[in-house]
Amino acid sequence: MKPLPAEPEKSRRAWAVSRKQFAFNGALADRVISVAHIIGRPVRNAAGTRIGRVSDIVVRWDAGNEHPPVTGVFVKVRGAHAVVQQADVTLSQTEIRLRSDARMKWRPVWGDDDVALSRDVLDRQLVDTSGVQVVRAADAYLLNGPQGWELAGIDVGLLSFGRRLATRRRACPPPDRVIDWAALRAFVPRFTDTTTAWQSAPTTAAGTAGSGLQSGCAAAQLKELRGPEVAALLSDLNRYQQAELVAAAHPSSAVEALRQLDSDHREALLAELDDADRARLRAMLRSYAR
Amino acid sequence: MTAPQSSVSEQRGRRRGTTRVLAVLAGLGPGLIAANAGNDAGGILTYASAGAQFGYRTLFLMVLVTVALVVVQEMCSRLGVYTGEGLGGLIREQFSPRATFAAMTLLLVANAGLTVSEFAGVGGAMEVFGVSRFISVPIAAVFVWALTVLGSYSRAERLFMVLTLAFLTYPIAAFLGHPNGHEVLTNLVSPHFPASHAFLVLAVALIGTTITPYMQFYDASAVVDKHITPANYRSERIDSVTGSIWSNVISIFIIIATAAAIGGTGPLQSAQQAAEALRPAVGPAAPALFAAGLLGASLLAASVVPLSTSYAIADAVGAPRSVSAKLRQAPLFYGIFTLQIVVGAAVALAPGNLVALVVNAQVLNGVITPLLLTYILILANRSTVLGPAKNGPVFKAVATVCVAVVGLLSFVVLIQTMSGLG
Repeated sequence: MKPLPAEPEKSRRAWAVSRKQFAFNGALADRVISVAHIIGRPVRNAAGTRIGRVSDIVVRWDAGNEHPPVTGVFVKVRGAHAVVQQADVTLSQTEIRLRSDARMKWRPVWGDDDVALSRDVLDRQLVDTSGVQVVRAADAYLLNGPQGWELAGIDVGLLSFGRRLATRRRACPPPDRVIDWAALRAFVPRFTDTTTAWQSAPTTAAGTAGSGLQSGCAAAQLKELRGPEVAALLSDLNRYQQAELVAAAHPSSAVEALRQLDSDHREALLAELDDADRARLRAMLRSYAR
Repeated sequence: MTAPQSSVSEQRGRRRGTTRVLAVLAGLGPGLIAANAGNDAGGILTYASAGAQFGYRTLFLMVLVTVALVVVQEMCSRLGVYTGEGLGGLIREQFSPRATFAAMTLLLVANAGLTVSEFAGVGGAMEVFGVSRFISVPIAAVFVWALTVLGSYSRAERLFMVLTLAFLTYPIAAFLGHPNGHEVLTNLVSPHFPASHAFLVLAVALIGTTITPYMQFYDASAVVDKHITPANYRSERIDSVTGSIWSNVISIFIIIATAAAIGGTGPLQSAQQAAEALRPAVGPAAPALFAAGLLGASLLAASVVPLSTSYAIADAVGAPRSVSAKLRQAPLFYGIFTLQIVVGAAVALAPGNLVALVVNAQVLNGVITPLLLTYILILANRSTVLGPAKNGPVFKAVATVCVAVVGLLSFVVLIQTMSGLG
């Protein structure tokens, strides 16, 4: 059994600092795009003619990147869906413009690491490993960094949710309560309706029952969570998310959290784990009981 | 000082008896508890009003409402079991922010109406004991708020639940009240809808108090809290169906008992009048027994309904939600809870007939119910939410018909009321 990593508080403080740094100001405003307010915006060709509207923004999950890069834009054109590679478009808050040589892929194949932000992240629960809390994403922000557009963070503020009730903003709205994406762990939906998104998606792709996604950094942070912190997070998650969290946490913390649950809850949660994780945690629970 | 031996064993015996009752209550499934939650102050007074005003003529409607309740509660249980999530969170994840806001506003309004009727129930019950509602309702509001926020609610909840057992005397009263058996059976099996605005309004109130939005949110959350998994959903489904039927059997007995005792006397005027239906079973103790049951049911729901609204809304907007959190840690959660208690108690103090106020609150629920049922139907139809457990074609058709009929009734009442046809 691996020992708990030393000084988790220190690294947690580091995440808090990066969160503050992300609270962008006017200087960054033109380099930031709100995902919630770009969905539904027009997509124009190089000549400026409207050809469709933005349906979703796709990022690629990569354990090596703290902030997943934008890989494509999902476009709805007269009821049909297509994907345009990020290199073929110019992103702004008010519209997306295709380059003259842009190619639209009409039957895109869903990659294991592809995540559609509007569908998989907005309005969904995420685990904030720095603040040790479960949050719900009211908005997501893309930042145009040195490597191009990337998912910088999410906004969990009530104000940010409230702004979505009004009309879409023409400029990226000021952030309310932003959390650096590197400190977050997201869960993809259990069942993905492949017919409304990637039409030719294979059934084994990400987004099918039980699959999850995680940032490499956030996953490391999850290992640093202590038992009571894991237990506190479990209470705000659904059963499938709980299982993912328990599987991702350090085994000794997971067992400590499991021991705090009543037996029905514990069994229901263990039932969602894969065989290897379940057997390992059961063995640890038995040894604790002795 | 030690208590005499006989007194101690007597107390132990009583405690064992109480423990047994509580064990039975604790063993009830979420479906059964959720369905019976419909028999709150609003429910009791609305069913009694139906019996007093229309005799047995609402019985066939109650049979149809039972079918609709079974369908709706089953969908809610299935959503809770298969997603492991409450309806508030599911609506936020599956609908647009505007649709989520609309759903939560409707829930807030419906449950605020329900909270009003619970405090009106407290007022009505205490008036039977000769206590003015201007004294009992404010005290009850402070009591319920403090119990919930200060975290000592669970013990009081058990006491309230035991008090509601008083309503189990309704089936006995229904038999002892010598109802006209032929008339009861005829009205149960043959469609009978008097063409009057008053009947239509009461029909919507009966739907609103039986298929309450609060129950649907409660049921989905309760199966999550009980950690029921898809593997043992079969028993949960049985619990949900039997719970809905059992709850409505009690409701039907309330209508029969009231119809036999005071049927045809017009709309119910007071809680004392409703208590008359219990007289064949318990004699002169009827008013006190009825008032105790009404008080227990009202206090129970007066805290649970605002609390479940706060949970659903806080979950939907992603705000902190827990009764163990401090006030400043969860301001939205406690704010919504407090607002409902304050508004509920204040409106219940408005001058006028308490029973009419309660029935009107159920009509409001009846109008809102089909709108929220539409969300539930859409969720249960989606493969993205339930995967292979989504509604099958037959269930989908039955559920759609149920929601459409409830919606049509509410729409007609709304139009009639707004155009002054009533």
